[in-house]
Amino acid sequence: MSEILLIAPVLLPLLIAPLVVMLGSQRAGWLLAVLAALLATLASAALLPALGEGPRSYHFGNWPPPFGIEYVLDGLNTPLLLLTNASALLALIAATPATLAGRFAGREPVFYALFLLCLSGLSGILATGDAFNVFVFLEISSLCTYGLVAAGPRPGSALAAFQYLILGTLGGSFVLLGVGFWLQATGTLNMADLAQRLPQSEYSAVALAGSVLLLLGFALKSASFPLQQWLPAVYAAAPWPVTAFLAACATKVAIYAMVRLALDVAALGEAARWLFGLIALVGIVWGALAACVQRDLRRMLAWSSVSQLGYILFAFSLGTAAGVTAAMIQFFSHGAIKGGLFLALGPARHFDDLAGLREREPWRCAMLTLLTMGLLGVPLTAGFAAKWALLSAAAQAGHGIGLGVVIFSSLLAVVYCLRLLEPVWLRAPEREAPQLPRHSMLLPPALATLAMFALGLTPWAASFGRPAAQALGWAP
Amino acid sequence: MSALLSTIPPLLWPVLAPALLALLIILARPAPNVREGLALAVGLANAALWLSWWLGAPPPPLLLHEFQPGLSLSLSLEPLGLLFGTVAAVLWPITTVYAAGYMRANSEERQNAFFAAFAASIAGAQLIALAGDLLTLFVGYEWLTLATWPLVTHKRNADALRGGRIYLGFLLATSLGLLLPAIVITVTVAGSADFVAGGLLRGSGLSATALTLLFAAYLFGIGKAALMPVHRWLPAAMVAPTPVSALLHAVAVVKAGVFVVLKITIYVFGPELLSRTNAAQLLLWVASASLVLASVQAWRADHLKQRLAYSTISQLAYVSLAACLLVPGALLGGALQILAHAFGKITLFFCAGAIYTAAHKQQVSQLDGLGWAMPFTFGAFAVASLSIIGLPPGAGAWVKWYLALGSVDAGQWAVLGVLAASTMLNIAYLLPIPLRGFFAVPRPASVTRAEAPWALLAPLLLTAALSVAWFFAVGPVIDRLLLIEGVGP
Repeated sequence: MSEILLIAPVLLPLLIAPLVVMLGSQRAGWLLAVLAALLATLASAALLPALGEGPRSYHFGNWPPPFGIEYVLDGLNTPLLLLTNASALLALIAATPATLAGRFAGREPVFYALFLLCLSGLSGILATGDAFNVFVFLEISSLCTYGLVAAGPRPGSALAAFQYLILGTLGGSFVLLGVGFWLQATGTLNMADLAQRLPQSEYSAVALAGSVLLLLGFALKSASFPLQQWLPAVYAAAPWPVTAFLAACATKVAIYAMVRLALDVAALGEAARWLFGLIALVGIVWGALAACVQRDLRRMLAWSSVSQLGYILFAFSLGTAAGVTAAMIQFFSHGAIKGGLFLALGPARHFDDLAGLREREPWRCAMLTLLTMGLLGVPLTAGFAAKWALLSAAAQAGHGIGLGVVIFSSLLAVVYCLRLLEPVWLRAPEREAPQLPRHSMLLPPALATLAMFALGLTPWAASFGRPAAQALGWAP
Repeated sequence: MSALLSTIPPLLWPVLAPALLALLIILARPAPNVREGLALAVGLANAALWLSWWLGAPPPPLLLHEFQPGLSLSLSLEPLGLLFGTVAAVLWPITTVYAAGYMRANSEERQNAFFAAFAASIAGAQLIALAGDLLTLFVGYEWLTLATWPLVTHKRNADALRGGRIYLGFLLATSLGLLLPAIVITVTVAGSADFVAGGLLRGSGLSATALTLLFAAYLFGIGKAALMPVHRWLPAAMVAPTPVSALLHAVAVVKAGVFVVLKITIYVFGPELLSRTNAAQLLLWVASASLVLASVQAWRADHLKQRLAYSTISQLAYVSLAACLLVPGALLGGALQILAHAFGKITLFFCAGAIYTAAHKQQVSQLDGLGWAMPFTFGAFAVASLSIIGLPPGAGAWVKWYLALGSVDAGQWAVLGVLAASTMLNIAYLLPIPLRGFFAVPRPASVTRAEAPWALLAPLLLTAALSVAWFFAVGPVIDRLLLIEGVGP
């Protein structure tokens, strides 16, 4: 039973997706998709208690690694599995047929199937211990994402999806090439095996080229600076529950892959960490600056994500256990806050859409305000816990520049958060603004808000720091 | 029910009661009379609780929540916090009466939201007063910033929007940009966030340069203390309705700022460490410059509330100055300033609001001869001015006295000059107001009384009387403050 549990988060959505299409009914399809995400969430939560016992692996078809495909769940990817599935659950609850507003003319089940396949792909990237499998799952999740983005309500959604497809395919090709180079250099695809053989490979240049290609591919998928241009367009174009889902976990999975492949498997060490630190710090400032000048609400939050994702990469680049702890907190904190913000914004896309929200929809106003406080890093929220951990880790590592950059970006966050709060609180409504389709739509952002406070008040996310650092070999 | 209430530790009440009141006002939307009656009752009970702590033994410290080992939310009561908390608690119910009168007389909109945010702000100020460690202090500090933003922007016009941006921008930027990193570094170096008698950093072995930088980060990071050049938010906050300017921007918010400055100086660095390393010398001159420059600005301002705001900036610098002098006498003077300036300045703002309500005048130059129509208001203004200037029988006299003693003790003769100059400037910008009111034009033959409604008049007469009363009754306060290590002998 417990063996099956290891692959359940990946398999459940994968297997249920075709059923959703076969059922054919919108409502039943939605319910089934929610159920699949719920089961996958429960399965990943059930994996957490045994986190301290070290990595657990599942051998497909009982082929022992390195010959067969192996799934390895350790301290780094198991918590992220829960984050991904929980984000999908909240986003799917919000993505009712009513929310999608008949844009599919009866083909909504396809949307839900794509959603589940995308989720399965992201979970697969996290769980697999096989480099080629990473590419396969990357393609599954990417192809589904293109479809989900194209389903957006704007005329430009299809174009945005197409542009994303071009860039995403480029990234995917880099990954495929990289895996191929690694195979060429070592003759193996199993990550644990690769970790042993890459340093000893006689084709060290090929191995290094493979690592660089893989890094490039995932840097693109994770919207790391300077490859972040696609992100705001995609967030602005996608249907809002999809944006919430992507914002909460998709880029984080790519960051996980970067860290796993570069720092763990290829063990590039100092050089890769220096590079991570550089692109993270530039991205932190660039994203925050860009967020301050956006005219579109979702683009602003997307640029804020570029900045906030930089925090995670910077935390890993410190190479300390404290840094990994900060990264784990930021994974969850930003997932809850940014995912929650997009869920609470719902169909709103202009700043004017939020005018007078305080009078019109007080509960939505309250949640938006609280989540924005979280983004600002106000004490008691998860955003503060993450920032505190990051600042402490940087101070302990003696990284003065990093400390300064994080502080500077949080000042810029004041500017863009205030741009969001002002219309909500102070402006009178100017025109008819889109509302959340139903009152029940308040449930997903409410859950995200609660999660934000729970993460801020408990050491739950911080408790993953040690197992995650152990998985990377940075803690005994 | 009473069993449930008695399980709540007494230290939690000053934070919990206003916070619950705010929540109740938002959710239940009570009728105006019920709402203000409730606020008054909670305020009086809270003030009584604080006063009882002066008489009896202080309640035990309270651990609210532990985030992780070494990082927690905790409350504890020490003499300085007792003083600041009591001042805010006593002035809150008085301001509630005033605010009820002011908001009704000026038919302000959104009064429900106003009173809710007001109570929430008080909860933040009380949390700061009771904070048992740096993290809790920071929680209260940011809470107070955010809870006062709806009050500053209450009018929702272009001015209010602009004022709100400057307000939140300055306060959040300084706290997130300097105060938070300073706290993180302190906790990293000292391995603890607790306030320690004699100084948390005493044994840390930081170099003199590091200490100077850290002290500066705190002093400028505490934007609420309005040390120049991070003072701009305070004049900007004057777009708020006058009760807000009176209680929050003359008492709760700015006093929270200087209270935190003193608390950090005494319990985080320790006067002994700072004076040994000379870390505060440079900041002494920054505070002196802030003191004089803000006084000059106040003297030049014609808008009454702006003049009072710049006066506040100057008066707050007395406390920063005291923190930088680092001798027991000066620290005592700085602590007494929390008390004396609070009662004096709230009276001045009350008077400004009363004049606006009764006569719709906001400029100093418009006040000629108005004193005969509003003799009580202008009389109270004159009495409170004496206290701010530091003349007996105003409570402020003690502040000047101890600060002067302290600067002599510290051998800082130039500071004595600064104090003398600022006293002159205080006289120059405050006394002309009542003088214009009564003597700028000859007394008219027939005077019609046009005072503001009693709800405005009674509070300002009370606070004016209290600012004189403290001159005579300051003994117990000093006795309590002398118990602090570094302030006492």
